[in-house]
Amino acid sequence: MLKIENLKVNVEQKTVLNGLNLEIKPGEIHAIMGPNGSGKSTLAKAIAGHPSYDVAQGKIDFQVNGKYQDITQMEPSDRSREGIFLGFQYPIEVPGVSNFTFLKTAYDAICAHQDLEKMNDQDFLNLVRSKLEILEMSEAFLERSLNEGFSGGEKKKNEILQLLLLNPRLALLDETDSGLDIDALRVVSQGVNSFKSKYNSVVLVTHYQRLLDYIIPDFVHVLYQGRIIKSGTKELAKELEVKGYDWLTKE
Amino acid sequence: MKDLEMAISDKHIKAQDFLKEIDSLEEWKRSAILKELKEIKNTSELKTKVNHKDLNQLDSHDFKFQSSDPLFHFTALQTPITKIFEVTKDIQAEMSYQATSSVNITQNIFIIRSGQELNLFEENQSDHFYLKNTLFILEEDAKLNHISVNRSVNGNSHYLALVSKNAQFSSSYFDLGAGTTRQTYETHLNGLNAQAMVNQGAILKDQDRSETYSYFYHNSPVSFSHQLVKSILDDQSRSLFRGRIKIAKGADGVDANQLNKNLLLSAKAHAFSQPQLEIYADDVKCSHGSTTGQLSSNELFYLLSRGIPKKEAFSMLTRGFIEDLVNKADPKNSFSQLKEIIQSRLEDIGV
Repeated sequence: MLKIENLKVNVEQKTVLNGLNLEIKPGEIHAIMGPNGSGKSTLAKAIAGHPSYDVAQGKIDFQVNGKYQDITQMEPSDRSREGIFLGFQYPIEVPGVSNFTFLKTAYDAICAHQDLEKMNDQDFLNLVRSKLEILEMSEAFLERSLNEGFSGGEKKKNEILQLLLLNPRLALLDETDSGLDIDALRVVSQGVNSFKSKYNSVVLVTHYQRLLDYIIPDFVHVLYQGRIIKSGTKELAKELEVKGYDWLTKE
Repeated sequence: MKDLEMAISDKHIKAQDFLKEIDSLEEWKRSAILKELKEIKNTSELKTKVNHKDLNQLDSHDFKFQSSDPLFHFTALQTPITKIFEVTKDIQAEMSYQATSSVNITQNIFIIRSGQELNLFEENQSDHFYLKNTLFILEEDAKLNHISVNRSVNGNSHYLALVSKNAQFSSSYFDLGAGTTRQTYETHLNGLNAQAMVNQGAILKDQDRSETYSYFYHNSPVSFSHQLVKSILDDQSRSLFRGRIKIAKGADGVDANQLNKNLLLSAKAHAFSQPQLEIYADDVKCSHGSTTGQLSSNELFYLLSRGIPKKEAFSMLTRGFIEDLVNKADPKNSFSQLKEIIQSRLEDIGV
């Protein structure tokens, strides 16, 4: 589904990713771990096409209509419509734009892209309700301004709500577990697990092993100084929890 | 000029003084006023058409109420242009102003008696120069929810609010008219737990010019004010914001904040902003700020990352910038009406 080759990404003239390689197949869950500043979030944002993250070298091949295509020059909204979703570490507050309008507009854009008929508001509301239930969210969230005044946990749940509605092929979840209490972590994980199928893939960027108790990864990668220095299975995450990163970074 | 302004504002305008003056009026004058009062007392839904008279009819000066703004004064209670409304029970009111002559002057005085609530929606739609002065007197525990929409050309609106103990003053002003407009709010917080929320929005294009002046006088300890002023500027339009929060000596426990945000849609648009704090008390919580620029790139990326096309994302955020104020406006039953008016103005600027 996704093949990243020798990726070099600059942020404000500083090289953050330096020769990164990664391949993700449909149905897989990958966890990206690593010390602060190793480039984890940069990787997620670069795949999603954030304009401040400049791809200086290498390519990001994404499967579009069965064929691999380099998406490094593609607009972020086009990437999204092709099935890439970024769950934000710090979801943006947008005063004045209602959550419902935002969700419906995004949903309409994807329907239009897939040549599907536009869904009417009532049907869409019913669809949203079914997802709200999974996330144990109240319907009142729909009337509020997008993320404005939401607590940390509510914001993260709202990201997963978008994930469930837009149903992408590749979900990049940037520290979705940070700032969550145990109950919220369980609910958010429940949401991600209900999204997961053998046709789609998930990349979890995380600092903590505890998330991986709820969402079981197929692969765990350690990112350091802009490249992957170690890959393994979920056992690697457990090892990191005990030993930290020092034993890897000192090599 | 500055000295004069200081001297007047230091005088500490009190609602009681003003009311005493009304009460001391001769009986025939009071009954003339009471005729107006009956009108508003007998109906829960009031629709008033205010007929404007020419400026030169302003001759008798029974009464003068001078404010720190030299353009603002209440003259002559008995001239046909001044109306006084006394609110003695909870009331919903709607007022619309339409031009009848080349110069239009309206003066309204609202006295909201202790514990009463007024919900007021005003719409101003004149093709001629207008001058609108409004005095709100909120007695103890009174509440005012006010929305004013200006869709006129060239004119000046001035609001003066005297807020007593435990009273809540909420006002939202939308400048959606063409030409040069000026709006001034002067709010006096005169009692413990007096609260004021004033929000203003403007949508400007072509050569439009919108000036906003705002003064909050915290004359009492533990009083609160909150202000948000937002402008969308297209073409060669200009906006000016000058706001001041003044906290009197001894007015401890005040919480006041003020924010001015300007969204520039054109390289030729200009926004001038001057937030000011003047604090003479020791223990207060105060903040003010000002931002001017284009849409936030983070907000834009967030919408784009959800597959929303660029043009639509841009338009959603621009609409949201001003609808943020619509959401905060009260009375809530004017919501759909207000949203429609704003929508049509946004279409004028291609959003």
